[in-house]
Amino acid sequence: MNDSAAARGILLPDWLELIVRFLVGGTFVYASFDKILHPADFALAISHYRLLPGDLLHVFALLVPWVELVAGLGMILGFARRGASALVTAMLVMFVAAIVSALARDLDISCGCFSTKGGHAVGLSLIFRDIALLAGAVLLWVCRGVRRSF
Amino acid sequence: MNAPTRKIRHFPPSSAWRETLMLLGIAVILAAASWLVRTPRLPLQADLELYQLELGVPVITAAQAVPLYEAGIHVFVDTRDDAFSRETIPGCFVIRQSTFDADLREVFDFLAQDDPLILYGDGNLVLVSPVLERLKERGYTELQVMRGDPDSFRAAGGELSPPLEPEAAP
Repeated sequence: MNDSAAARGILLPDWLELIVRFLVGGTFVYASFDKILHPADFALAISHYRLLPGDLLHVFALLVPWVELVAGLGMILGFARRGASALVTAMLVMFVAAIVSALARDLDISCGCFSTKGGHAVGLSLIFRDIALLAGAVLLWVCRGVRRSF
Repeated sequence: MNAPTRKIRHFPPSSAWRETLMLLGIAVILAAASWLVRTPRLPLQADLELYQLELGVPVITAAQAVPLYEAGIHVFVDTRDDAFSRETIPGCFVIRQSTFDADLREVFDFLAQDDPLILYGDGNLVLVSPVLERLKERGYTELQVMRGDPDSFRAAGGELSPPLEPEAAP
């Protein structure tokens, strides 16, 4: 192993990196399906947050699920992994901010995270879950890519 | 046989940006393609009024509510949790989500199920909707929601009464 290179970043054991990639990436891929199939319902779920103007609501509802899918797949497959980690990190920060904002305004709404109809109500547990995912995404972002060669 | 060795891949910062933009570009292309082939196509600009229709009842503005109030036919219902400690629309009933059953018992004798009710809150329709749903479940049929709060009502020319029970404020 090149020690000077290792010193420039965190080295995760292969198995741990794989688990984190599948957990975080898989969560995003799974979360994207229902939203891609039902963009109007997802737009409705987003509208409950009362954060986006009408000009952005549908564009956001159409685009975000595909970003989730592409970033999640990138993370799982190891394709453009740092870019995927960056996108997942940015989305999670955005989701946490939206949930905190909803809680601060006492909004009694469902989060729209996995299912466009019903689903979890916004609450602290959702923030903890997103922060756990965020930790995984950041870990993948800062860790150096390691590949075995034979 | 040589033992496996580990090689470190180096990522210059610019490559991360390139990857991010590339993935974003792929997502935009897929989203656009999905939008183009799907029917009915979701309009790119949302009409927020449509989203209010999910309440399943007419949503009126404060300007529309003022003449209805002056006509004296409609019953106004304040759904704010702190309704008793704030200025409100004179003669309103208070039915809150947190104390729904108790509040409804208080006014039950004065409310017929076919009385035309106008619900309002602090301007957030999402907070009015739980009370609305429960009133529907109890058989109230003539329901409307006023967009905005009592301040909107005053701005539209209506008058407000002082807090109903200032001492009840938490």
